Amino acid sequence: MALKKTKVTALVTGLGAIGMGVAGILGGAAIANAVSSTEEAQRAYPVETNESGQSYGSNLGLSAEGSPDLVLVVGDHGEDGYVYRDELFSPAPSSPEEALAGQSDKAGAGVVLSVYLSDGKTQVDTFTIGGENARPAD
Amino acid sequence: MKFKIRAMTWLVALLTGVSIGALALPAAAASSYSSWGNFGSNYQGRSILDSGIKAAGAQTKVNSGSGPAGWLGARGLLYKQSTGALCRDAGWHYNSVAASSWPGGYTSGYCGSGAYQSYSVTRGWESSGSYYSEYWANITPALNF
Repeated sequence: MALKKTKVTALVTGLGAIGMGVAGILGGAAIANAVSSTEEAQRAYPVETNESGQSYGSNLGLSAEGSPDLVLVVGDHGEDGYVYRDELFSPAPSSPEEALAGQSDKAGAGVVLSVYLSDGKTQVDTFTIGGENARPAD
Repeated sequence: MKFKIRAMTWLVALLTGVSIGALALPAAAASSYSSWGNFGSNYQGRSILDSGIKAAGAQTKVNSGSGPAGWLGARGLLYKQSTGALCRDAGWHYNSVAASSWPGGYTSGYCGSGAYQSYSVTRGWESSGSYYSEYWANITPALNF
């Protein structure tokens, strides 16, 4: 009986070791099924169209111009929803001086956008660019 | 016989410790990078993902010479791999001093445990035309946070 108990202990400990190893691999290594190109992203996250004719979905793998009208985000309070592409991606500054000045202006609170359902009208959350969602500059 | 089995038990327990040390600890500080991509007249950019600080960032570098303050821009964007949703956006950050390479625009915070990817944007100032070239860097491999 005592012998059996020892064998069971050895088996459980062995399985634990394998489990820890697998957890370590999953935690540190690249995830195998992750998208790595625009084409893969478009297949994995298809863009749809709402009743107003606005496209909505993930913009992973897409440029600002190629992103849907409504871009999928996780809001500041954890709600999934969409922000308007044109609010998310504003035009570039016209000079390095303007860029640095704008960066300082936005360093505190960031820019807060409204997050909507896929209808683009019903607000469900907010999404902050920069502010607390950015690490302080080096 | 009993002694042999006990010895085997201790050996397995030791291997458990080795598994934790060798595999789990490096996972806490893993980084993944996209490949570099050329853009504009003289720049390269890439996306960065760091599971140690749980952040996305971007890196812009000049192919030759260096860029004065404000010439190199980086905007880290952190995405949830399961849905493709944008989780955190650091906004634009520019080099405050002259630099030939500048990693910056790191996000802070994340959206619960799971797999994440960085798909970030870089900019470089084109002095000849007085405008910024913009480049969406390649997507990084995913890492678990």
